[in-house]
Amino acid sequence: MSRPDAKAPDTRSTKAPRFTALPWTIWLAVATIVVLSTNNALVLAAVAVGCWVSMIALGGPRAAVSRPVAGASFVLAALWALLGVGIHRDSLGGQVVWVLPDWSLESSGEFGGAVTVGQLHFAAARGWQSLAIVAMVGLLFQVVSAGGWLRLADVVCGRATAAFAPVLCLGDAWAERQQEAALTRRAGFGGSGGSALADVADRARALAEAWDGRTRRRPSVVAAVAGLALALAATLWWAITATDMEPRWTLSGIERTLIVVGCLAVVGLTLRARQLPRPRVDDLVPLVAAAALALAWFGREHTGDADALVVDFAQMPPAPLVLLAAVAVLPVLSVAAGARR
Amino acid sequence: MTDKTTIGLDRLSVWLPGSGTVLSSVSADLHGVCLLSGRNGSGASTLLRAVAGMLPPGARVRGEIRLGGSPITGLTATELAGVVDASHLTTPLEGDLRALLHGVDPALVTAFDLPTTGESAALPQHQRAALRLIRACARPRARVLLLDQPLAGLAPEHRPTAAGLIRSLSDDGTTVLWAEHLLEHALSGADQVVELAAATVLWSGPAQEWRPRTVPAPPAAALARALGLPRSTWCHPDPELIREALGDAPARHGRRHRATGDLLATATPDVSRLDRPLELRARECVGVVAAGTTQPARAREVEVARRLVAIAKGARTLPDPLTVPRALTVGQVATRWERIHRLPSGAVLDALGPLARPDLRRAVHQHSTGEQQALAWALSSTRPGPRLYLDPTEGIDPFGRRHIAHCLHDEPLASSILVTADLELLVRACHRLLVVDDDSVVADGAPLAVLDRLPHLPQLTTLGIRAVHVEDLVPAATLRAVRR
Repeated sequence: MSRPDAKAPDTRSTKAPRFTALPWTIWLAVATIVVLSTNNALVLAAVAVGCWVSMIALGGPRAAVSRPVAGASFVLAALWALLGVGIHRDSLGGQVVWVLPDWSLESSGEFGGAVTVGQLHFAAARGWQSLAIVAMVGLLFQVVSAGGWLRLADVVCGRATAAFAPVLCLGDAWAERQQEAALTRRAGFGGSGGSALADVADRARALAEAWDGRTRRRPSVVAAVAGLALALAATLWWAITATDMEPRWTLSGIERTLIVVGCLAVVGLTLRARQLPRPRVDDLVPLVAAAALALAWFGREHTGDADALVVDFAQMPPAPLVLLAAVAVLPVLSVAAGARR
Repeated sequence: MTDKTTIGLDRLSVWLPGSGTVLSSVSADLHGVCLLSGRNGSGASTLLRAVAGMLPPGARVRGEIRLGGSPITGLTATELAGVVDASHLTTPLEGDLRALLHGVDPALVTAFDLPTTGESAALPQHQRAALRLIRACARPRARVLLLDQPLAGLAPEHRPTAAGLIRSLSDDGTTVLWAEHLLEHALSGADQVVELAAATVLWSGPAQEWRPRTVPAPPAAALARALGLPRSTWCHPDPELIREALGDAPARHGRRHRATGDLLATATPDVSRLDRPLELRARECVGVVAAGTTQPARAREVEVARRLVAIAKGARTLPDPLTVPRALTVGQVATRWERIHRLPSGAVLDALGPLARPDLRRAVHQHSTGEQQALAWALSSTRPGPRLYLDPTEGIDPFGRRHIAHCLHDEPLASSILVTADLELLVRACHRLLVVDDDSVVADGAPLAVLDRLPHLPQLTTLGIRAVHVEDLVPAATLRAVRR
């Protein structure tokens, strides 16, 4: 008699690196500043490719997330690229590559017409930017479980988490659907059936509803008052700097907003930081990557990268070498972490 | 009398999108430990959700829910201790155990064998179930606790402790609404029973006066009733009284024996990875039980069961547990299954009929957990060849549990290997029990012959009675008279 194979799918253990949510949120904040503040297609492409490499290297129980993320990001990128090429902008300049049939609407600008090198660069930058953003979000859904995100959200936002909790469970919901689809295909049913989007939304809602890791400890009155004061001060600072005609600091709107969001998060963390899971060794991957990226970004004036980050679309974009090296830290560490298992 | 924790339902009706009217004009005053009983799909889970204010979007509610006399649309976070729902157990409760166990009585943590450090996501399912329950119970200021099949996911040895814990909450002034199918554990702790059927209340009153209409009574209560013992002892069986009433008459076990079929395969030690050869026969139901109660022992019993099924089939790979596609309609699932296994048309629905009557046009996930489990049973039981059953009665009502035991024991069409935490099913359904301790077979024989080697005992045995069925102890004519 043949020996039954003991290696069935449900007995296999996943040895993927395990992460907590906070370090990845810090990395996301820094990466978002970079991606939204530059129009250099090289940097944007490096971030997107770096995320993809990390997704593949880290794998894990939610590795199936990469497929819908790839689909969504390429559709979005194609849409942005088409819009970039199709909408005529005189200011972008450069040589004319080809001429499209044009039409103009009085209120909505000019479509088609001469397509210039500047327009192509602009379209490529927009495309890469959307690719990078979707890839960053997809990476986060893959590496941290729904429970991890819900716990962080509960610490920072408290009961308000319920309003967006299903969104945080989308990665797990998709992975669960894919896992079930594989099993039902093997059983001969031919897949999960039904609308994928509706099914994933329903699963995400059920997962959010089933999560029961809500924190029970209440912060002290002193901590609560201090937290409220800090939150008010941060919000006030944002409002003043947004309307200040002669700003004291040279910070962009995105940077200011992210700093305030960070402050509000710090308030939540200060009040209930003990509820967060302890960091693991694997968490060094996003933390080191975030630190490298932050150093390269905020030190861009000293490294000489500043001129290469906001580029003239009529010319080939120059390469900000230090920043590109900092972007590469994440995929390199991810490959190392993935290979270690 | 209405105290501040009494939940009043006044002509409550609930209509759910895709499901229709699930509750129809339900009126009752619920207090103490209120046990909600009935067949699968009778509306108990929906009643709990309506009280919690957690009905799905699109639900329509008529009538009134009152807490302590004041109308409410759902319980607030401070009023509600928690909703412990067995269907949530597949979702890992992620977090640091030290944080999750904050405020929980350390004695309870010990009683449920929970670790105090580490990550909760790494816990096995029965410990996750215990964690959910004790967290919900650790809120002394809450007025209401809602429990939907909380015992289903627990290890058998922890069920009496859980029932005791729930009882103690009520003694402290919390109203507990408890939907449960494992009546043998739940009934003794209940103050009040509400039996639901066809979306409405069939019976409501004190637990001592309850006589089940739609589900069979638990074995001890059925025996007490058949022996003509006082009604007050039905819920709280007294072993002395029962033994006295039974006298010295021996139990009759022989008539239940069914001859099993031809030899299918011999599982030799090199293939089965057990220390002795085992004969597997057609039309025989074999239960696999771990001698220990640790998590590796529980995983081992599932692995042994899968291996035996593969050997009986002559397959090269271990069989996967059945996964039902939740987005397909019940009708589609049944049709596809019949096509895949070349079954006659209607075979799946025939097997499903005695357990539940789901809407064939609705998706699987739009049905209750019990109805989904009934569908899984119908599919598994119509699969040609040797079959693997992993906890087939989890979430199934007592009537369905008895029907499944009957199908496996008295009308076996194929060889079946069963792993279950339902002790009544285990001893009623199996022709033979295999008690395994890692690689060695500790005991192999008929359920009554190996009772001493089982880690947990069915209810009649815990009363000191060496029998599985009430019919073995009480003459059939008496039972028929009692049932009439």
